Amino acid sequence: MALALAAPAGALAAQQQADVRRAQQAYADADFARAIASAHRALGQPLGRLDRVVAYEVLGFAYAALDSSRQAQEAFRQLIFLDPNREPDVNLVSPRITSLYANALGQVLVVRRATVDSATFVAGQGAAAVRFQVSRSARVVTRIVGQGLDLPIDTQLAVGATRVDWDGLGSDGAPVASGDYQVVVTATEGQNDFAATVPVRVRHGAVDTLQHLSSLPGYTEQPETVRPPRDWRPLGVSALIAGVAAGASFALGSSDLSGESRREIGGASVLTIGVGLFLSLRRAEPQPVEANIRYNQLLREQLAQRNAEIAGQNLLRRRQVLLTIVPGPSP
Amino acid sequence: MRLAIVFASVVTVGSVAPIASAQTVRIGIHGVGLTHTEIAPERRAEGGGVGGLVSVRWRRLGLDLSGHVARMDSVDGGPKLFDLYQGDVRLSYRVATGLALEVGGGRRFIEPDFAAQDVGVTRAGILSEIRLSSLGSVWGRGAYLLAPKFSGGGSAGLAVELGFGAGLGTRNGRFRFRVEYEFQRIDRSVNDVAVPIQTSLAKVGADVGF
Repeated sequence: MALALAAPAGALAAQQQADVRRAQQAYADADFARAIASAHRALGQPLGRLDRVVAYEVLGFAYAALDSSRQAQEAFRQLIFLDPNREPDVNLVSPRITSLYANALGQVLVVRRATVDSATFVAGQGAAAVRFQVSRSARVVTRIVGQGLDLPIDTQLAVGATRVDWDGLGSDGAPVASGDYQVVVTATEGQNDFAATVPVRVRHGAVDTLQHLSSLPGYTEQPETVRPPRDWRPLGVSALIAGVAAGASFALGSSDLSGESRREIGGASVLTIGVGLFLSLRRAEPQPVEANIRYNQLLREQLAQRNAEIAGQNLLRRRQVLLTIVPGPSP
Repeated sequence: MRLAIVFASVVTVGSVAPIASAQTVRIGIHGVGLTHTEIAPERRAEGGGVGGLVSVRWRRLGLDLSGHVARMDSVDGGPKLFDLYQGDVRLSYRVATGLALEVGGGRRFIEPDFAAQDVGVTRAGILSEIRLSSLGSVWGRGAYLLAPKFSGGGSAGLAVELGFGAGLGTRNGRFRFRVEYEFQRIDRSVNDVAVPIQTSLAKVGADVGF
């Protein structure tokens, strides 16, 4: 029984599609009258959406070829209502046809080419762009619908290409829950209105935290002590003192007592000069460099301040939600 | 007896110095090498011994007390063996960085008597000390000896002394190695006969600061 019903239905669908194909073929053969007849015959039957689109398109093209502008524009208006995003390819179609299509487009109110840009941002700090085109000047309301939410995000008078930004926040100011939504763009002009929907998928993620700094980029700490270069002053001074004193004692020595032993002054001079030599050869202790100490202190203060700022930012980031918005599956 | 006097004075001053709110007190010991020549080159004696030092620094003032004892022996047929005891006092006042005026006195005893002259002097001179680093310093001093007195009588025309030394210590000043040299010339004359006295003294020792 089911097979008996299915067979006539399948045959009917094939017949409908055959009329559409015949119309396309007739148009390709420049038999515009037959193309119009076939298209009308097909449209007189319950067609699928795509077949109706094709039928209206062939009908509009054929009428345009026959200079029947009014009928062509009517066919194009029906086509635009069915599929606002479909338009003649200017590389393949006569400019006369495209101009008639443009005229038809100006006569109807539709929202075309509605898209949502993929975006990843912190909720409330970025936005996903909703783009669309409005064929006529109209009040356009953009809403987010889904997951129990119906949130208007923008209302404006618009015509032509329009952009609306969505910050990912719900009506309570919190990020919307993850899940599938629809962006509904409704254009209203008097009694006419038109709605276009774009499915989007929202995912939640954690915001990356900032790493604490161990040093400030571009700045390095300076050595706080430097070892002075070797100083030969102690040797020079001790040799000078010993030499002058020894020379003076020789000079002051009594001539009546010549032949004096020199062991005391010799030994004392050697030891005195030895003290100076030791102090000269001894590696000097590193000396503090006040400017570098102050510089490093400032660096450390800056680093601590920066890390405190990072800690504060991380505290905030841990409470934030990273939203990823991508086009969703078609309904 | 004389040795006891020398060291008693050193120890006494050393013991009361901290009570006097001294900024720095140093007490040290040293070995001495000494050459003593009197009248003629042939009467030269050389010897060695030990000594002690107490040094006090308070603000611009300084007080140095030192003494030593040495056993001397004749060289080239000079005087026979004798012991030499000497004590010195030096009071200084720092008038500028590294420069101080110095006054004081000294007394030298010889035993047995008349093996050489006992000498007493009063000195006035200058002391210059230069710091080489945080660890060490050198100094030089010169003084004129006023009216020296001798156990054998007589008087002196020119009487001078000069010296230099160096110290090397720890950073905190607690311990210090010290070497010092002193030269003394006294042109003594008795009844217009020149009987000069000349000594060279080297000290090597260490002291501790408080």
